[in-house]
This record gives sequence, C-alpha cells and structure tokens, in this order.
Amino acid sequence: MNTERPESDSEKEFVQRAKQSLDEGLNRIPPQTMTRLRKTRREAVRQAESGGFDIASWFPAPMKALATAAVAVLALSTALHFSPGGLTSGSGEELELVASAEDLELSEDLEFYAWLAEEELDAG
Amino acid sequence: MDEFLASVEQRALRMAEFATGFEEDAMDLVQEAMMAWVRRYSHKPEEEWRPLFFRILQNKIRDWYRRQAVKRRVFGLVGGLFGRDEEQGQTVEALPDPKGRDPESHLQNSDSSAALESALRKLPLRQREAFLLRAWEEMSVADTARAMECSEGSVKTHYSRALAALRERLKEHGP
Repeated sequence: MNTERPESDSEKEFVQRAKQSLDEGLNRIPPQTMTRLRKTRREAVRQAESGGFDIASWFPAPMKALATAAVAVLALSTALHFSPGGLTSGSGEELELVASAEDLELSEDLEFYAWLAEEELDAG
Repeated sequence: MDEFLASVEQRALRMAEFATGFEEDAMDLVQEAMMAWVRRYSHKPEEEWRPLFFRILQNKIRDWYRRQAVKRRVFGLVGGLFGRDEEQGQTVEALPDPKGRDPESHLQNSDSSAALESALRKLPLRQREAFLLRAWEEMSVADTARAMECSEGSVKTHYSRALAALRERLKEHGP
C-alpha cells in the first residue's frame, strides 16, 4: 500500500532539520576512522584501476575444494559442540549460511585486509 | 570513482553505525561495500553508482543481521537482544545504543542531534533505510527503490512511517 502523501510544511522543516543534524554528526567521526575510510577508498580505487585481484585464482582447484570442506566440517563440529540439543531442524539452513555465505568474497578480500593491517601498523 | 566514494563514505559509515550500533562493525561493512562495489559495478554509468553502492551497503547490513542471528543460535547466546521488524520479520528493532542512550533521555537533555540518532536506531531496518536514503542522501523514490530492492510504493510507505515515527518521538524538539 502506498501511504505517501505530499509533505506538509512542518514535515519539510523536520526533514530539513534532521538532514542538518545528521550532516553535523559527520564532524564527530573520529580522525582515525576518517583515516581508515580514506585508506579503504584509495585501495578500492587502486584495485579498480589495476584490474583488481582474485586471490582464489592463486590456488589450484583441489586446494579450494579442501578449504571449503574444512570450513563445512568446522561449522558442523562447532554446531554439534555448542548446540545443547544437537542439530535442530533449522541447523541445515544455518550451516549452509555459515559455510557458503560470501566465503569466496572473504577470501578475495583477504589480501586487502592484510594490506590494511600493515598500513595501520606502519601508521601506528 | 575516488570522488564518488569520497562523497558517500562518511554517510555510509553513519548509516551502517545506526544499523549495527557499533562503529567497528560499521567500518567493516563500509569497507566490504566499497570493495564489492568496485568489483561489480564501477564500470556502470555514473548515474547508477549511488543506488548501486547503497544497495550493496544495505545488503551487507542485512547479511550482518543474519550473521548475528546465526551466531546467537549456533552458540546459544542469550536471545531477545533484538526486537522483530513487524514489516519484514527481520531482527532489527531496538538494537541497543552502544552508549546506552535512548530518545527519552536525549529529550530531557535537549540534545536534539543525539536524540535524532537514537530515534533512528530504534526504527525498523527498512524504515530507517528509506528515511536515510530519501531525506539524507536525497535520492529519488526510484533510486531508493533500486537501492532497497523493493517497489517505489514500498519506499513511500516505509518513508512515510519513518517520518511519522521520528516526528512523534522527537516532537519536543520542534516540528
């Protein structure tokens, strides 16, 4: 259902004040956070300009399969160990989420995070 | 590309922080969103960059909620930390303010800025997304719908409800 109607003057004023207030909040972002944002952005742009990287391509297919299996086994053993009643009907869905959700993206980002950590160590 | 990311990074960080309640998690989500955006969409026409970037960010935020839900179930941690989004069935409402603030206390302190941020944290996820993208990011209804992956009608509904809820919670601070 579409419940939007034209904003009244008081609503427009509220939105304007909210926007101004949120903009002022940006000034309270800590300097070290701003530095991290800047580094992240520069690295993202660098990757775009250099064609990016694919850390997964460094490893042969059997090693990738082994890594995926290891993640699945770890997730399964963790769930069995910590779940008081053993696996429940919802466990399969959760395991699928844990084992598959964006693990490839995570591996692709590992080099970036390693670089970021090095940068922060150097800066610190 | 650098100019575009610079233009959205701070607001993206604050949006993620409103959603998660934690600056460190918010920082991680913005990092992930930037990297994913560069990988997938930076070759797209510039006019599409903003809705696509915020679509990725909102998806990362939803993934964050799902991971929290999985962690709670797998590790048997205490439930009930999060409320339910009555519209989406998502565990999003009433995330704790990391500094223990609430709208009422801010009203008493006449701290309208902090009260607004606290009230935003209390909104259901989809309402907060619609309000921030429409009011703060000044995106059109169509672009907001693309970013939220929903219909334009849903955007209008979420925005309208968010506006009403925020005005009600912050009425002592003016119109």
